[in-house]
Amino acid sequence: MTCRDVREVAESFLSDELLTETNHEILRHLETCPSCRADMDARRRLRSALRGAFDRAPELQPRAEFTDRLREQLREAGAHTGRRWGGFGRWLAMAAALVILTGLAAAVFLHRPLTPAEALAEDAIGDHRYCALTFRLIRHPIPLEDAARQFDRAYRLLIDAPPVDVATPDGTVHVVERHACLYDDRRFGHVVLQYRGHVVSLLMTATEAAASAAEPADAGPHVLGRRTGGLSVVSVNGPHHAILLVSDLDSAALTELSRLVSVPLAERLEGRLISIDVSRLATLFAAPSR
Amino acid sequence: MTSAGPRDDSGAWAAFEGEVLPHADRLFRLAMWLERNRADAEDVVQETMIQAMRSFHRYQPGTNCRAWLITILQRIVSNRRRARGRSMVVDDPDDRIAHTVPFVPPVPQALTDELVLGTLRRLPTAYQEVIVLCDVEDLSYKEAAEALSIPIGTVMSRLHRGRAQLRTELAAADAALAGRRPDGDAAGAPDERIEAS
Repeated sequence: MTCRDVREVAESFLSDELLTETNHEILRHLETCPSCRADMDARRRLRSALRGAFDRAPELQPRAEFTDRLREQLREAGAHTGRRWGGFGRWLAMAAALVILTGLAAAVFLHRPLTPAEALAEDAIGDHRYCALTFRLIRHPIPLEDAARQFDRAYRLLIDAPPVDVATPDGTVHVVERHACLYDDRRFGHVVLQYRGHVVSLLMTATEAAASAAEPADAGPHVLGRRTGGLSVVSVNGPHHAILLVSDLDSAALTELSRLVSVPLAERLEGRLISIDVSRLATLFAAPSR
Repeated sequence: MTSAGPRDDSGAWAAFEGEVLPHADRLFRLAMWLERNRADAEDVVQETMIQAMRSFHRYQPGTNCRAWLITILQRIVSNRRRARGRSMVVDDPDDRIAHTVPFVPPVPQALTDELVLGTLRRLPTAYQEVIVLCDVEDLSYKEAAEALSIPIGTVMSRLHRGRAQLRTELAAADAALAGRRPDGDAAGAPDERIEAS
């Protein structure tokens, strides 16, 4: 192993990220190379200085009253949450299993399963709520470019469509953010819009065959599922993707917005026309740039 | 811990208290570094602890509890940043950061806390994050990748560039303090340019 080799992996060596054999090779080299020993010591010294600075810096230390208060709040929260807050021991696992089984039995006997379209509407509402409104998705959104490369080429369409501002008779639709995100294992291309003071999610997702079969592919905008928690979903279906709008706007307003925003996207996406007033849309979107 | 027999709520609290609460101070330091504001840092730590409590049943005893907590904390911080600016997903910071640091100067002999933290603060945030997680909090590359929701290769490349830039900036700051130029022998450490061997 040369000095250059050692310097290249020195930090990984200090982080204990190398194979045992490589560690041995480095140690053998260090035994005979004072220059690399000095280099390794300097790196160690810098790490140690960083850790020490973090531990000592007065501005980074918590106030004692905060730590005490936090402990009390947590103890109280734990007491209130009771047995739900942690899985401690086999009894809890058994109890949880019993609860789940009971829930499943109830679901089987009392409720019919969701149709694919209803499940899609539920996921769309969940994504709007937890991604666009409260920023509490478990996994971070990723750029559309990356998602298009890795998961679904169709997301490329959303990189520049709809444009940042779309003028409509009832006000401007403004794009706030574009990304791809995951909610309950369903992947969405997500454009967050602002319209008449409301946050609206435009979601594109691949649809399963069953969902497509349940919904006519050439249907215009239509309400999907039930209004839940004050949120409605309006969908435009293509053969392989659905383009959904989710918002607290009423269904009629959302349907109208879908005609202006989702339908042109569906046309571009599937390369086909859907029965709409094309002349009204011609000015809204420019031709695809790629 | 969790594999023992039945426990009551006091046992649950004792397990949480013993396993998680000792990390509160270090979590606060990390939150304070990331948020730069005491009230926000306190909110972040409090939310981290409450989320940890709710999902404590998913924590695997014997694994790195601090890494688990830091992952929760990073997600909370990231969500707060999104809520404030909606800016984190637009592009990869690596695209905006100079990729090459041609020469890595020696580490200055005198490393004061002020010099080290001040210099670290001047690095791009993406570099600060990986350096703090890996070199201060001692997370493995894999744990840091999970905490930041980025690929492990990105952690490694950011670390490489970030550490090199940290050393360059440290040498420059040290030289400025000493009133000398960084390409002289102001740092006083052995010459670390690599010779073939």
